[in-house]
Amino acid sequence: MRKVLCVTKMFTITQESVMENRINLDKLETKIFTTTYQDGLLDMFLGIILLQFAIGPLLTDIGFSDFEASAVFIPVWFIALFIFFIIKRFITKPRIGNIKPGPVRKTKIVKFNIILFVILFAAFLIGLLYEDFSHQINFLFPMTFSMIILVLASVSAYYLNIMRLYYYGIMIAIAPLIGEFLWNLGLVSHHGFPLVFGISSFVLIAAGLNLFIRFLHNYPKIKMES
Amino acid sequence: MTDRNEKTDQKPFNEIDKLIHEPARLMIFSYLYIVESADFTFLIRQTGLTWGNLSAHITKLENAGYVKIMKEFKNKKPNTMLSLTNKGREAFNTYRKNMKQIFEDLPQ
Repeated sequence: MRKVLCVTKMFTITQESVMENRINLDKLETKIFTTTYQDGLLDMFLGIILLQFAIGPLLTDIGFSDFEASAVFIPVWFIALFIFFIIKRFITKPRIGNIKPGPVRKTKIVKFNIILFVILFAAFLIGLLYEDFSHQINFLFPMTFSMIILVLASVSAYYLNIMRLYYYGIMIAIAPLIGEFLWNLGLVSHHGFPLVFGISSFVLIAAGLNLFIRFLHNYPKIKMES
Repeated sequence: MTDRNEKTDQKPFNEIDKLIHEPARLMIFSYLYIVESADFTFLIRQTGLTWGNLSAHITKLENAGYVKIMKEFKNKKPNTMLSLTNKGREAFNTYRKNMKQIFEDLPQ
């Protein structure tokens, strides 16, 4: 009942609300879209991706090449994606319902995909150049990595309207810089990647799990009537 | 003469679509206006209305030709998707315009 009153209050017609009609509809659109990401699955998936940076360097110690240490995680990502797809279909969707996004969101998603492609392509080119300059400038790799992550996270946060991605971006961007610093002091191995990315990964997975539990609590399954 | 003036004064109020003006239906309209289509679960979740209540409002809107109901199967289960018709979108835009006009004409 309380929820009904709160939601209805949102639609109470006042002079201000009508004057700000455009803004309110925009807010409503954002609210609708962000509901999809309240299940924490995105956070957990990002955490699993980061695990590669934490565990990958350690695999090189037991005989894996750099390529093998990265490639070994590809099946892990696919398994995680499949599990999250199943959860989305059988747990998330029956609780929040289905929508087909309107023209505003569709345009935003297309723009986001184009910008994402440009950033990733630029990151790929930088990666190719990195081989030539990496040994000449100290901190070049962590700084470049941090900048790419910051831009990626900011663009994703802006276009998907998920504010927590800004914080994740800052955390992940700082991680390699701290790792490099600790490595220069001789306190950690592998440029500090296992430590800093291990912590970042743990934070993301824990945040995702927390969101998922809250989601299950806040969105019980609605009993369908014929 | 006075009668005619009164009628003119009342015009914007009379043009308010009462079918949309009701708060619950205004909520339903707002959500359906933003998305291309949505199902019952989504609307129940977002509006906080009960199944029966929502169903009653949707029937009224469907009868007025504002809402289109599409019954489809999703994962072998029946799923009812709802969307605004062109008539519904036009009616909502007119409603917004009228409401804005009424409040703009009021003194501060």
